[in-house]
Amino acid sequence: MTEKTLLSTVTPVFRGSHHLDELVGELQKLRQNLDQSTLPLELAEAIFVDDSSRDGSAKVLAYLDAKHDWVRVITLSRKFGQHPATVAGVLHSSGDWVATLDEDLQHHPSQLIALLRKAVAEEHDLVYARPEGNVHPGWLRDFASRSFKRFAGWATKRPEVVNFNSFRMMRGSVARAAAAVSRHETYFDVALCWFTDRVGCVPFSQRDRRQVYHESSGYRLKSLFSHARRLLISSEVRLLRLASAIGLAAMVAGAMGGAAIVVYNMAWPGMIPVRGWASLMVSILFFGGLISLLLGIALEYLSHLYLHVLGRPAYFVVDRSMDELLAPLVDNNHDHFGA
Amino acid sequence: MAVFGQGLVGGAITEAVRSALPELRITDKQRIAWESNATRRRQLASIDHLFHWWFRSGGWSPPPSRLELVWAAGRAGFAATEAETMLEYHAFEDVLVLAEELSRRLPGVCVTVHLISSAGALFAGQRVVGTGSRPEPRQPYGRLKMRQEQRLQNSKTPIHRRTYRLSSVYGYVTANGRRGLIPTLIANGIQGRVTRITGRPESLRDFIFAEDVGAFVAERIAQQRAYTAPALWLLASCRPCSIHEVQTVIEEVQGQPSYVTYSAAGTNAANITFSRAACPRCMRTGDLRTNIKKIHDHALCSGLPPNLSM
Repeated sequence: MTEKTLLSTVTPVFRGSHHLDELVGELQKLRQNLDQSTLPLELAEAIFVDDSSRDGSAKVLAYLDAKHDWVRVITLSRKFGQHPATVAGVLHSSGDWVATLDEDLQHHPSQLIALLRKAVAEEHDLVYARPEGNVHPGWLRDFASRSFKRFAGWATKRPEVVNFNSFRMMRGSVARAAAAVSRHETYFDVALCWFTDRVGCVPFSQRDRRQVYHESSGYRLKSLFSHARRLLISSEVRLLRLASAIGLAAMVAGAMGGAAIVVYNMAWPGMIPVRGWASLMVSILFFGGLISLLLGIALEYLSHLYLHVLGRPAYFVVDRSMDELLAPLVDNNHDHFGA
Repeated sequence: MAVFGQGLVGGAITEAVRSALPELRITDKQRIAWESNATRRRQLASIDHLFHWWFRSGGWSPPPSRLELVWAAGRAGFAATEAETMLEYHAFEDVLVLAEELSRRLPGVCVTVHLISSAGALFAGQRVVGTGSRPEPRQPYGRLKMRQEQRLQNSKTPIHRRTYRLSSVYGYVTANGRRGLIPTLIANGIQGRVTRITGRPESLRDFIFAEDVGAFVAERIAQQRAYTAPALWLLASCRPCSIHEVQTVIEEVQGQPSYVTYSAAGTNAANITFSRAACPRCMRTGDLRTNIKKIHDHALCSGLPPNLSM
């Protein structure tokens, strides 16, 4: 039996009834192309996770599941959200590489090979498709998303945050390890970064087809805020350290200011007109700073405990030796899929 | 009905059949003589005599119309040598010869042989095993299972044939028999011992609970439907699970870290997963996390066997 690298795709589904058939059609084309090529690569399975869809997606998925033996449908008991649905799908995957893509063909299957090529050529474990230009009609949403990611990248000490999105190619072992430790509040991309720092990106043009074809977006403002909150609380946040530093500075300033006030009062008694002002200010400055410092330290301990509960590992072992099988993919003389 | 093997799978099948058919009574229990062919054949001759008394000599009135023989016995494991697997093959062949003889001598009786085989051994190293996948065993144990299946399929007698290819089976912690990864990790976790695992953290397996296997086989036995064509089922949860994930779940359930060493020697480190399309739709499987909790609670409540060594 010739050894092949297996690729799995995972697609969370919430409102995809209009797009799923076309998406599976495109995946089928990719699968056939790979089958006919000389590459030792196979699209082994496409996993769809029904996240309590109410638009008829379940029926479409059942039909596709019955029609294609490489399509697999997992049905969640209630709406859990995109990241938990992704985690569920990843945990059901068998591929050496696992790609996640959206239900609405915003992420085209023909781009998967380019992501994989980038991963193998540069020895990445995780490659994102970085959107070029605006994804959504109107500038505000994309601007807000980019700005928040830049802030989050600074606040969480993770510059790769700016690349986070749901069109990813992940090494299977890393993806499943990250999924295994993910909890309901874990931001999946943050969990992935606990297991690898070999992250790359490939620029692609992406368009939110839903809004382009006059459907409403898959996300409401509330769920976008929820996403943002989840990203911050899944990470070590620089602001906690900043709070501790501010507290320490305030305490030191309070002590020095307090000493200055004491010396001034002793050197020039009676110059401060209000009785008790000096002692009150010294107390406020010193103890206020001390409380800020202690709170910062306590929050930092809490943050470490929380990250431990979230499943951040002490270490993880990876085997990249099978990437050699895909050397023909990286060979520039073989432009297999033109992406 | 005769169930050969009362380990993890055989025991689960027996319990499930007794639940499905409460009128069943256990009339005899024997320990299979693996090493001595002569002793084993004497044992089988006594079983043959018992069946003859039931079916022909008026020992049971009216005489039963079905005889079910389940082969769930095994001594060899994935690390077995060819010589060890031959012992097991000869034992199975003796039981099959008994079934063939009975089917010839009891023409009005439907004799069915149920063979518990191993999908993990037959499809070692294959992933997303589907209906079109071919078994390609890599180890002596896999070749043993293939030979057993072929011997059963090639029988020229009117016996009915059922083969069940199981993925990695796990069950409650017991003192005897093969335990498997999950009960071993759980028991060692309770006792604070190190578990030595042949494989890698990212090695993928498909775990199926012994009770679910027992329920499926018992249902086939209790259905009383005569499958005239040989039937072959692949019993798997179709839920790929890495060893790392199993370890993580067990640590969560136990609330403490588990101590594990890995050795990636041999083909045991290979991945094995199954496609949903290859498994029967009527197969009911439980959630891994829930079953791990059940096993852990059972081990705590009933106490670990005193002679348990891992």
